[in-house]
Amino acid sequence: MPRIAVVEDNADNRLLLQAILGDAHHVDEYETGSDALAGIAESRPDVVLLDISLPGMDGLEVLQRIRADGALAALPVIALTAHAMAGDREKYLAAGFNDYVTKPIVDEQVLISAIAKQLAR
Amino acid sequence: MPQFDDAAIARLRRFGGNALLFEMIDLFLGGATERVALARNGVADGDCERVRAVFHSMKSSTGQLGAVSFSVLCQRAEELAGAGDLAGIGSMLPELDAEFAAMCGWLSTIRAGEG
Repeated sequence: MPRIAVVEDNADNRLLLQAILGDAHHVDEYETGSDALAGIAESRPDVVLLDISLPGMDGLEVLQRIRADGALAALPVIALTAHAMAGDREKYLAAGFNDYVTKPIVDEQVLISAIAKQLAR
Repeated sequence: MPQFDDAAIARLRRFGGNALLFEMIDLFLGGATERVALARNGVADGDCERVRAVFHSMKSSTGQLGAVSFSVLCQRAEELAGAGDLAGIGSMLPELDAEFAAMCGWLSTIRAGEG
């Protein structure tokens, strides 16, 4: 079963992602960027779903640290964010995210397909 | 624009039945008053980043729960805080308070199994 790391500070969003993904994926939940970096180094997930607006270390910094770590640099990281203004998708892809999915989640297939695409790489 | 989106509630039931829906409502309502107070205190303290972060977070939660009007207000407040306009948010507070009360009532009704 593919292993997905969910990095999200909102407990309600983590609960939702567990409900959507939990049947077909092993989901590891992290509330902060620093917890995620420690956990990801240990558990080596197949895909990371990374919120942008995290308290303390934000998602962009978490991504930069993943990309700067030789052992983790190639890890697929999907931005999962309520930042959904014009140009945000391009901005986050340019920052090094592999894909970009917006919240609220209206069609769960968009998220599932984005994960499947990264798993198939 | 509807004040509340019943389709969002139906969607959450599809994702995980009433168990998921009710747990998400409980999680949200359990912390909502504190989050609003955090934003209000941030406005009083002139802390734009704290205010922006709280409204961003609430925009996400309430958007997923279908509280459309409140989520839109949160987005507007997030943008104002991002632009450093806390006075603008101050003038929104009566509207935010009224919409917050309406939203909590709507979610409580659903949680009671009547929605």
